[in-house]
Amino acid sequence: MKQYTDEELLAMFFEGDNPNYAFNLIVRQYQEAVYWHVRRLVISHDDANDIVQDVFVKAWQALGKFRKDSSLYTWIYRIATNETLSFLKRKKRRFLLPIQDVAKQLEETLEADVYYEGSEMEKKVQKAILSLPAKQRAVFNLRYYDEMKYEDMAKVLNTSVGALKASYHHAVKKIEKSIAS
Amino acid sequence: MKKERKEAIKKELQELESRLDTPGSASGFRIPENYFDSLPGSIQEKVLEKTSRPALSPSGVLYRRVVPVLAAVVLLAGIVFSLFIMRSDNEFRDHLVADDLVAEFEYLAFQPGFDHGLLYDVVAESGLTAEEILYDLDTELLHGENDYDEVMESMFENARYYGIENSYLLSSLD
Repeated sequence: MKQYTDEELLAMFFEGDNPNYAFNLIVRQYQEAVYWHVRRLVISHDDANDIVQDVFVKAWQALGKFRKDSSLYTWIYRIATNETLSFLKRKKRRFLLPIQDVAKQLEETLEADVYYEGSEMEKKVQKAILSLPAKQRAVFNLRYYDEMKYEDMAKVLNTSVGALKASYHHAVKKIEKSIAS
Repeated sequence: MKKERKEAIKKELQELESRLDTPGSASGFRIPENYFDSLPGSIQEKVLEKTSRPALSPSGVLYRRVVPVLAAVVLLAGIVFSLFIMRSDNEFRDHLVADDLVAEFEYLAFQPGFDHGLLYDVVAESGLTAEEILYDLDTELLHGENDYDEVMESMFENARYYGIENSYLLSSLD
């Protein structure tokens, strides 16, 4: 599939004849990145699938109000992150779970998910990542897997660059400790 | 600058990978066959489903979602005001207003499909600060030391989602 710049996609959406087509291109361009970002946070494919669909529906509803001087890339990641963190919070509230139990529940989801087939080492790394609070996992994943700039992460997570660097550093330490134990 | 950033990320990842002993991209997750071919279609269907419903104008949304809550708040405020007339103790009055609003928020919070945007809307209209309301919320709703921050953060997120100016939000959080 041809890759478009954010500017091209936005121009097609706002100035073209067919905004539906332009939106479809936006979905095709960002679906994989959004899916993997969400999937790593919620673990289950089914949950990720539901959230990704909701993310793009919200994007569709809000795109008309999108400020063209912003970055489409960070805007979509921001919706995805907010949707996913809200999903995890709702889950935590619904079952009145402390963080350790949330991690345990996600570990169980990982073990039971038919769409997960990591090696023992990969599973160990995933479980170590799952021991982090949800927002810190988002920080770690955006940096480690998505290789996102701290400046962009700051826009996605509405946090300062300094706080993100500190959070990432602590996340790495915790993961190392968890793997070593 | 870009090169320096790449180098910094590369260095960080190399350090982490050497310690974690696993490549960054390998995580063991997989997806159903042709998933990304069918996902745009599913999204399109969902978008159509949403847009085929009668569209609500912003004032319609306001009417359906916010006005009933505000009406309840106004009613409560009326009752409280009557009590205020009967009692001249200002401290008691303020406490009672806060208690009623908190009860209203707690009621809303336990409703299925509760949207924190509503909480924000009511906070913005109530004249009370979010700090005052959240301080009094039931501890069953706010369990864990991070939850206060989470709720506050959720309010900020929702404010942005509804396109409410940050300065307006901040004025209610003073």
